[in-house]
Amino acid sequence: MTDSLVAAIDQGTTSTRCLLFDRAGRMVSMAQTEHRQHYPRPGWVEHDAIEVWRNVQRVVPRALRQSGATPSQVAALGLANQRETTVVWDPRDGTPYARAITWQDTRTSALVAALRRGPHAETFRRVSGLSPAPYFAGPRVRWLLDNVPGLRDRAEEGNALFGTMDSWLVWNLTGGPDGGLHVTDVTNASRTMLMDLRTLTWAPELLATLDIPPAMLPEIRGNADLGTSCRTLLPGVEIGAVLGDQQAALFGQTCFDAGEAKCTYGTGAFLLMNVGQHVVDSAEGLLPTVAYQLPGEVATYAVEGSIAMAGSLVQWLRDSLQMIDSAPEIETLARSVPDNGGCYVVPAFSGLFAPRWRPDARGVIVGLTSYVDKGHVARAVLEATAWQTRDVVDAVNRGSGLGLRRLKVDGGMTSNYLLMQCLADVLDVPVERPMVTETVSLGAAYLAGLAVGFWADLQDLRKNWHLAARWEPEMSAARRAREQVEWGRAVERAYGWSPE
Amino acid sequence: MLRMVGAVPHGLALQEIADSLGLAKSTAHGILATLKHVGMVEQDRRTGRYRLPGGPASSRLTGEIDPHLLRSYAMNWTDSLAAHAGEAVLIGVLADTDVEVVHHVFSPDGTRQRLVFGKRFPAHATALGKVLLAFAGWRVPREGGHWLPRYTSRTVVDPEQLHRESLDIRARGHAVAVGELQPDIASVAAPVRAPGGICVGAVAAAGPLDRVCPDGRRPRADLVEQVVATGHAVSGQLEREA
Ligand SMILES: Nc1ncnc2c1ncn2[C@@H]1O[C@H](COP(=O)(O)OP(=O)(O)OP(=O)(O)O)[C@@H](O)[C@H]1O
Repeated sequence: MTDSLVAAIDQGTTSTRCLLFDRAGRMVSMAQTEHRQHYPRPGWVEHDAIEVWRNVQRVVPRALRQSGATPSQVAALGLANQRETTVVWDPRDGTPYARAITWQDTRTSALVAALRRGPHAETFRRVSGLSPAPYFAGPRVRWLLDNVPGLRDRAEEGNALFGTMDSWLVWNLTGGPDGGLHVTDVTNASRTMLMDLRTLTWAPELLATLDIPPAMLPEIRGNADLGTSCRTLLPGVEIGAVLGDQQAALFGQTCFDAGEAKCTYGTGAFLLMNVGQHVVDSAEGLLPTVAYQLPGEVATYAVEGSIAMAGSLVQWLRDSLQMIDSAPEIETLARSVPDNGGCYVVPAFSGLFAPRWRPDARGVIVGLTSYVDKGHVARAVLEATAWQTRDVVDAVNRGSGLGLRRLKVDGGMTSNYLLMQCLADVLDVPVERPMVTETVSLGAAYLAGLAVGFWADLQDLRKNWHLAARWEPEMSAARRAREQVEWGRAVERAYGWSPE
Repeated sequence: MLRMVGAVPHGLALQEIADSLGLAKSTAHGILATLKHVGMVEQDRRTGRYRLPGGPASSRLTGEIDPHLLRSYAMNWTDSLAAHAGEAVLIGVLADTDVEVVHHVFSPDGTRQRLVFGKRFPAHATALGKVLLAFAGWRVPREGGHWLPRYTSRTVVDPEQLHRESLDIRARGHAVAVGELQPDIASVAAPVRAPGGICVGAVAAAGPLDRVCPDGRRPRADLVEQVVATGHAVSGQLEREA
């Protein structure tokens, strides 16, 4: 059989995966490798872009080998990536000028604070849809230009290219120094703070404000409009699609209609709701963003609520507090008690993201009494993810005018049944897990498959979505209301702790 | 040996332990004597059976692997099994003589389903349970005319017959239950092993009898193959993560 599979690469925050899917959207094989996290200073989080590219080169052949497939059976490759992570490299030999600055990195705080106070904050919001925040890629480029000796000169000469992870990988896949294509897609570009959200082109006034040489920038393309093939790794296989991981998950969950939403629970948690063909300007602390753009069509938009810490709080419990040996064992610990015992954890380790956007907040644990033991803390850790989701859902409901009726979930944390029940309880809507939890990869595969005609249309894809598990709300309205108030009070305690 | 002894609330006779592990009786006796000496097993004065100290309460096998960890490692594989087999998928661990469900993936057949979690089923009437009994070396007491509870006309209630089936399951590497708990449901299960080969759980595909067993008696060969492959895949995952 030829062309029986679609390959997807999910270049994530902690690991890089390659998955193969068949025509029914079923996972056929998967290979995964983690990469190192570098924390050179408090608030700095870096990845080695070379290591990431090497991992891509490792996982793709492994996934193929596992399934017994050959590259000739692969109809297309889809690429999804961690967004906002910033790489600047030398196109002459493919050497990065610095380690990649990841989306969790807060080194641009001062720069961004100045922008927010300055006259251009409103311009950023109006044009890119985003109020300046250290979360986005643009300020990181400026930081690199200011801090890497000689970089600005290289950039003006055209010897320094900027890209998010997608650009870096596509450039390498299409030949690297030997004619590599320097492109990005509308979803990744929508997270730079540099793109006009309506025209989907780089905004000259924003580039000028941040003083970023246009020569560094990749060309922006639609998600399935690359029209190019791999020169290496899967030679001749078309790169059918590129998109940011959260948008990929929205697509993989087949949220094609306005009002459909998903939340992905990994390191952070990301809730995206499809809002249709118009930008929903958000006064509610949510981010308007591009959901996807199909060939020859106008863009579909989404609103997004990003939660900085979800799984990473569990990891903190494991690595820093050593209360558990592995992340899933938090469930055993949390089930050792019937409730949180009055304890709340607000994981504002690097401030709070949506919908509160409080960079001045820091983490707190409140409600401690001698009654509270580690089981209660474990429960409070899981509940923190549920309540943060509730805050985002409330904002989405207010901002979009589209009431959320059920939440589709995915990501590593969905293997935690206690968390899923807790989510249904605090949101008061059913929580649904699809049969393919690797929705990021699936979404990239779907879009790539659509681009090459492997799948006919969206309806074709929708048929592939199957329910794997569903949790119904069981909590009483009174208890929900009481705990929501307590959560709100706990969050207030976190405000203003950081002197910034 | 400890795990085997621990799996049986009433303890095991020397002969049974030797048989199940394929050891000479004298070898088994030597090991048991040592374990007894250091207090890791005790011997019932009356029956001479070996059991874990502390009685049946300590005989849970689920301590072997955290059930939530097991689910987390298994999830991609069990999703894939459900998608390919078109049936519901369950993971179970042994809890006394019951099997406890720790993971459930709905069947993609479009019917309305409810999540089964933490629910216990009698081990001798389900494929999941039969795998766990067989691979944990569990053996229903032979003497005393002790029959097991009956749920349908097809439930195996004779301990002797169940024991023979256990040996068969060990040889084949999978278990089958056809209408033995509910008349119209059939299931196929395979072991999940921790590094070192110890069976820590079982994975099963379950569905309407006529779909699982088109001939009314035996499950589809492709389904058996997929379930066994999933058992291997999850075991492999445990090995990699260890
Ligand atoms: N059963 C569980 N209970 C609680 N947390 C879990 C569980 N399983 C995984 N996690 C957490 O989920 C996160 C891993 O999930 P996943 O692999 O989807 O995320 P990710 O690292 O964000 O992915 P990516 O590398 O693609 O960005 C970790 O932070 C881990 O602590």
